[in-house]
Amino acid sequence: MPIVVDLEALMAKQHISLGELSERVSITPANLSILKTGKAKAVRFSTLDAICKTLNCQPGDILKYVSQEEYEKENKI
Amino acid sequence: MRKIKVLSFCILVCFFTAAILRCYTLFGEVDDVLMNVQNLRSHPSHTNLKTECIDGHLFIDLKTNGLAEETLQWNNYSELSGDSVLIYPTSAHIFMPRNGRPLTTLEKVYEKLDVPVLCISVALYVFILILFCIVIFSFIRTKVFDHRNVKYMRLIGVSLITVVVLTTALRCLDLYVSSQGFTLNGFDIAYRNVFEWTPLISGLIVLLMCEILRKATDFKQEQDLTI
Repeated sequence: MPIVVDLEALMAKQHISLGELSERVSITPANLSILKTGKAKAVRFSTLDAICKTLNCQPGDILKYVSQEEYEKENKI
Repeated sequence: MRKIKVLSFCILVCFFTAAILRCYTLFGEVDDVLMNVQNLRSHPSHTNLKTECIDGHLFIDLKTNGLAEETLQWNNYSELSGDSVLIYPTSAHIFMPRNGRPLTTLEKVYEKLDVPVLCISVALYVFILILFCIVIFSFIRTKVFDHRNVKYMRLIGVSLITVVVLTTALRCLDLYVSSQGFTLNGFDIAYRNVFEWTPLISGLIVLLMCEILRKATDFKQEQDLTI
């Protein structure tokens, strides 16, 4: 999927775990995991708002667009 | 959406065709006759002798041609007069006992197909019943939008249509074989009632519901993966 969610880097930077982030953002760990692993089909603005507030970042820091070829290459690696 | 459009159109066509044929059967031309023809091996192909009455009696000129017994059996109120039958109120039964005569080719074909096709039809009906129970229990457990339900409903629809095709073919053959046993002056044997419209329309409606459920399941899956 060309839109990639890059939560891991930000979470590592802030030294925050998945469980802690899910508590602060009020999303279940399962759903956050779906978002982190790129299986989500869509993200609500309210969720994006909560994540950006918690991690003190911009939506562009979390969401990244990659072309289909790059995405397949990254996944193969 | 294309499948939904096609299925909806098919349902409309079948429904109105069945309705028109039914009206024609009830109110059609008086020289159309639908005989209740009974083969001793099987049940009658169809009913409703529709007629013109003469003084409240139906008079038809019916002759057997060697494949049926010379004597005709009739309902309680009919009278036999030579080769002709006087019937009232509306139906006659013509029995065709074998009595050791050799089978015609068509009768042999019918005999070979009769039991297997009926067995397949019964098996399909049992299969449909089992799948239907599985789907309904799934709904009761609130697992409505599940791809397995979509698969089972598709199987139910296809099975219903298969049953219609098989039984219609068998009934046509049965009626044709039976009608070889006699000639009926001034009347024709009509085949339109051998087709079972109800299971066909039911099957198409189930397939339509299956497509709608498939769309709904896809929407739900997308909704579930919206964080």
